[in-house]
Amino acid sequence: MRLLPSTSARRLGLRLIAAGPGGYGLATLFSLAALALPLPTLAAARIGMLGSFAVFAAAVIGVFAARDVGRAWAGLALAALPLALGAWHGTHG
Amino acid sequence: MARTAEPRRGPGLRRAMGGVHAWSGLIAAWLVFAIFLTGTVSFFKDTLSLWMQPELPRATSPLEAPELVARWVALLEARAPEAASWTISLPSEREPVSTALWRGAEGIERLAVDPEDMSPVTARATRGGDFFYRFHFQLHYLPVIAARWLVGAAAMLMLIALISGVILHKKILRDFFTFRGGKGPRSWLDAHNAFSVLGLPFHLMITYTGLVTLMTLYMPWGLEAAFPEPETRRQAVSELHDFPRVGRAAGVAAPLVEVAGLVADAERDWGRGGVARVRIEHAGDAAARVILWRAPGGRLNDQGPRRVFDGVTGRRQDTGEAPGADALTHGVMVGLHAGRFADWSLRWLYAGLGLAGCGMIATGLVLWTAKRRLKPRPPGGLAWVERLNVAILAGLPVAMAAYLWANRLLPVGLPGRADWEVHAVFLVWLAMLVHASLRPVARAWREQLWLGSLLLALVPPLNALTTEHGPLASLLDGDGQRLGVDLSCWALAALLAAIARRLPASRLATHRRARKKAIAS
Repeated sequence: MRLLPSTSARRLGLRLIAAGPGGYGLATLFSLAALALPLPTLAAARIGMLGSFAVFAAAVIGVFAARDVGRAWAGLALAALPLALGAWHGTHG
Repeated sequence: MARTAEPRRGPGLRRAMGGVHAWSGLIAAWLVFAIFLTGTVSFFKDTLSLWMQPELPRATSPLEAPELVARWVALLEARAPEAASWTISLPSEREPVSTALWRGAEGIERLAVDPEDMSPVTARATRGGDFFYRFHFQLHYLPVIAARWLVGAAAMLMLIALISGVILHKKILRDFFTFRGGKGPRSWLDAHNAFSVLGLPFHLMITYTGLVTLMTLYMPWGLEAAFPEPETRRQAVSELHDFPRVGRAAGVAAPLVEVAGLVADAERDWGRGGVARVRIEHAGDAAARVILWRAPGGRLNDQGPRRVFDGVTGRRQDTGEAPGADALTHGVMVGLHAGRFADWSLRWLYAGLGLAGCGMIATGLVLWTAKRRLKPRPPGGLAWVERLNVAILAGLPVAMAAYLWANRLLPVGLPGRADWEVHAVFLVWLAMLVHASLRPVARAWREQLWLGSLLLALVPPLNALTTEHGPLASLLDGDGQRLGVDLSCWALAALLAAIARRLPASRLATHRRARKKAIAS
């Protein structure tokens, strides 16, 4: 009996996690980073929400377009970095 | 999909997108088809409600808006003096009666009157077009929030299927002008491309803006971080949706301003019939407030404009400033989705594109199965996908037609009548699922499509037999609204019949032919 799924199934699973929870997480970071915009709070929050679905969709497409699953996660992390900085500013600034 | 170190540019990228497109499409397609079809019908929800309540008068010469509002105020002061607010809807072409809503001791109360003489109007209990409208974003029989999340997940998958579908296509325009009939999967692919390219901007717009209408549910984190206090957050959400909350009463009596005068002023600026709704809060209290909403006619921004007045002095409380860019973008997105701004010709364009969306999803699902059916060893669950395709793509129109039948056949005095109309939809839909599981797939397709066509074709005669608003009567009466529903039933019956006629008599026939051709070439 094999306890771990096959390599290709595991890679697909990792990609699906990157796309689903990973993509939603990136979209959330974007909506928080928008709060750092020099705008009234409600306007910034609204822009964050309006754009978040585009970020989510782009993340999913990017994850599956990546050459391999490692690059998919690396790309996600690379995009998350500036957004996380912005989100920190937006919620603590 | 997870092959390693494969160059993703060129064919590799398209192959990856092919996988994303096929699977995100398949998972979401059944639900999105139901959302698209009921959503398309919702562009006509008020008209459908009118058709489903044949008792409603047509009110061709309603009272002038200020006079009507003055009479409403007198009526409501006597009827519901304690209510925190009254919301009065003024009649329009699509909603010829005038209604008022308020929160009474037993929940929301509603009164409809004939705007010609303020006589109360009673009609059969029905959810009318509102049922389809609500179903398209929160389904039925399910907890509302859970259902909205389901719809949101399906919409997100649809968005991904659309984007990956675009990337998948090298020559999107050339594909649009290509049609290879009678060739199994090839033909389905061509049909799928035609429907998709035809409506692509619409499909992208309607899917994205659909997510935006419920964005405070799907993506609340920015709001939660910016407004940690629940009370200020509620205030922010109300401002975000441009829907002012009813404030608190002062507990000090003060006479209500003459609301009719405020309406008359607004009509001078917005034109006759320019005021859609009037909300009066805490009438007779010092904290009274009056809000006038402008009718959406011709304006893309669905949020605002409105006027807010002090309900005692009549002084304007809002600044009347134009909304900011963010609010404008948001309002236009919601406006584009709901299409309330659209006049009749534009509304029909919306309906046509919505149907093209249904065609895109339906042909995509059939293509998914047709491709896999051609394989030497078709995958195991394929038969069930095919059967579910029948039950949903052909079964839902049958169930929706059954809604109109139930509306005309259920006794007017039946307790829980409005609910039974809806139960009829789901009982018939369930019957279609059972039918699709028992019959050979190709026959099930044809039988359900013909049944849907027959039910729809017989709606106008049924209407003529059971009400005084049959198609001929509506024609002579100049009642374009009700006539339009009857004629649309005939048009949709013809559409379903045309699809049924074009389907092959048996699946094997086409696939044998297609396989032979594939081998020969």
